[in-house]
Amino acid sequence: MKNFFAKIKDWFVKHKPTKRRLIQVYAALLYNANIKGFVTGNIYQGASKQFCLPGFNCYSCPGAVGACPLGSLQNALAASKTTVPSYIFGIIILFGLTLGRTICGFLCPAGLAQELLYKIKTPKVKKSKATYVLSYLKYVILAVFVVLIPLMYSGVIPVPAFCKYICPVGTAEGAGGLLANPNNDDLFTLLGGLFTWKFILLVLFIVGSIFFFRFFCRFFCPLGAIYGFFCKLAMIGVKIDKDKCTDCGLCISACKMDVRKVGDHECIHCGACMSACPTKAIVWKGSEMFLKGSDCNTPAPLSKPLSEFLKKTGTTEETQESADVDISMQASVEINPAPVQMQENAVTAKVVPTVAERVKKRNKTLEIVAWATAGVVLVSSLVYYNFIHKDAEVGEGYEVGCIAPDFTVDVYGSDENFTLSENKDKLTVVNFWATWCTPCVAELPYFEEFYSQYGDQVNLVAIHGTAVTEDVDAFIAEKFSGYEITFAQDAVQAETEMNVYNTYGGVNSWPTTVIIDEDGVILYNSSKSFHSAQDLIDLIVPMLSE
Amino acid sequence: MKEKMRTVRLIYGIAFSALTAAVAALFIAQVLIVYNSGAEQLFTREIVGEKLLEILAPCVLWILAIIGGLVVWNIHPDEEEKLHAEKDSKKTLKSLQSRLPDTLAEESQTLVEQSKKWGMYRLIAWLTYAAVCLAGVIVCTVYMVNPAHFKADNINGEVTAAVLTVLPWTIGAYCCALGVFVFENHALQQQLALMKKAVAANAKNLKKAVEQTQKTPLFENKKVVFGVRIGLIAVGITLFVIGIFNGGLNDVLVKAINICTECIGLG
Repeated sequence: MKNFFAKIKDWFVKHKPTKRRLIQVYAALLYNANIKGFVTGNIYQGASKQFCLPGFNCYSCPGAVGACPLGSLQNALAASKTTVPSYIFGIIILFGLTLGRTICGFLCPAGLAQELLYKIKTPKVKKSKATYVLSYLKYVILAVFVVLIPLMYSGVIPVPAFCKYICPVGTAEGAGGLLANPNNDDLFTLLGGLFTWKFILLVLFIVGSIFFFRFFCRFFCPLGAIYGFFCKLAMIGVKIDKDKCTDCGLCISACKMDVRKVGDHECIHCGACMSACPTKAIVWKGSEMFLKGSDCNTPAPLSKPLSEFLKKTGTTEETQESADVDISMQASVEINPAPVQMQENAVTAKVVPTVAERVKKRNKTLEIVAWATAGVVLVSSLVYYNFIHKDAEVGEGYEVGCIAPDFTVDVYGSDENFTLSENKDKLTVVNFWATWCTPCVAELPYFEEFYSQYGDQVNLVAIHGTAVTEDVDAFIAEKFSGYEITFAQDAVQAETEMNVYNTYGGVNSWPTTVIIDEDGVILYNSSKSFHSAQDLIDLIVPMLSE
Repeated sequence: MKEKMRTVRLIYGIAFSALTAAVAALFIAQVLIVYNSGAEQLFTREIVGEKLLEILAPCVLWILAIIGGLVVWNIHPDEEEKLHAEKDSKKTLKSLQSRLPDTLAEESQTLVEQSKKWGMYRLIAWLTYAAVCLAGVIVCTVYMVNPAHFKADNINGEVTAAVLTVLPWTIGAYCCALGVFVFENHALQQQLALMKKAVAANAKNLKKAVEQTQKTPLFENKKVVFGVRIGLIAVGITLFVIGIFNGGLNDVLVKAINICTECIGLG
């Protein structure tokens, strides 16, 4: 029995999570601290979302408390004709300089998910020249989908091409998180061809991650490609101590990424190479921070050449360049002698800690302080986001069949305003839109086309959301000049103390269309976007005859 | 016992890989069936639930297989993989070249000439690859920076056309790179064989092996790295602050607090 428990204990000790794994889980939890979002089905809308997280985490995930750097970059480039994207460039430079691809190795939830999938026991596809060349595909994706397409559509219509056509994280976290909630049944009406494509891609990425180590990171992730540019400059990460390195190449062999050198643009600084290095030549950058000048006793150079410790196995003349080598442990001992035993002071019988012992104690203290601080930050975040922060209020009685709350909004391009109760002579179609919302901007021409045919039978007002990122007047004048539909600006209503969008049940889903009959009864209220004027005709014309 | 376990692992690996592919294919098939159903509302919670139930059995089998595999692997763990350290052939070649004496016998001269020819072939292979990449970059850039190729009324069509323009060049460059790597490996082996023969033929007159002193690469010079870091930190902070004042921060917030429906496949 004792033996059995001892075996169980041994198993847990052998399989306990590494510090890196704990940091990855911590980061994933911190990025998605808004756990109540998974319960309510709403995404977090607080101020912390103006800050980008360093790793890959979709901001449409119900739990996300920060913005995705890649999504933000694409949107910033899409809006670059009106606003210089300096914020996102600045933050990416700072992330890249401080952490570089250590973010990939330690702080990315997508990386964590892939590593866990890779643990599934299947034959694995090992790295090779083919995978090395394929790792450059992510630079092509970065150039085409993240930079060029959003830039080419800048000032026309925002197109975050990578997010829209490729990103599996958005599909898994965003769509998965939102659709799984019973409160979001109406989102199912939005699923179509795009979802089908992205779902298929997600399945392929998941399967790929089972057979290839970090399938998405290595071949497709543009964020890793960006951080890879900072490989030589990043302040934190792994580096080689050239005085100890013997160029044996075991570090490259041990690494599952497509590195050519430790710390190059493919290295995610996971530290797997450190345990493979026989001479302990791979260290963390900045490790001198934990040592004072007087504490840094560089060990004496190796007295015998390393070749004396190398045992070549199965060597033939032809295979001499690629023989298996067995590095004996003696080599590592010769270079890194065990810490000197504590010396007792003979007179006072007091134990004097050596330099190595002091350094170890200081590192331990720093580690405890770091974990304690991290714990406090995580717990505070969880408490704040889930118990203290209040979600935006939404009106009541906005469902189909209810009487539509009255509202008044200012009309763009004139001094007039639009009041619902003063326009009860016809069916009223209210479309909530925004300049920063791609489907909104894409569908407005269909509303105009519909209105040009049925304008004598309906009122149509397109109300821009209260969140404004550019001159809406100028936008309308440029994109929708000559349009007959009424453009208006949302505002907080005196009666309800909330804006019209919230009054009609809108939280964070755009565009939203509400149709109100002549008696003020809501006939339709949905976030579905329209892909043609015919869709509108098919929906609204039957309501006109009723 | 070890042999038995190896066989068990192999069979399990093949079977599980097939099962994984089958389950993935089932998921893809189900979503395609729903998409092609032609219903007015393609996806509803009920339809999705129904389709998931249809493939529940293979999914459960897959999960059980994962658990089973993890249990077996923990009871009988894999042997630790031996690391395979490859010598750098280019360094070996350079070192051999540096050992050759200045005056060589005629036979050795021929060997060295042949080795140089192989070196020339390697260079040509890389230049060809560079040319293919350059051509691809030029063609794709010319296409991608032309606003006429990015009309707002057919975004999906335009993006598909862009991908169809870039993809063949990407595939071409990839195949070319693979070919160059394979050729280079072969050429290096030829060069090494020739140089070894030349070195063996001049064994009595070889120069002393001199440790190749390499120039410190620019980004390994501590002063350069420090200077660039300071510069980039200053640039980063400046851009960050400008971004706060020019509305960049607000733009990020506005996008992040609203569901990006197309980003998550809703649309």
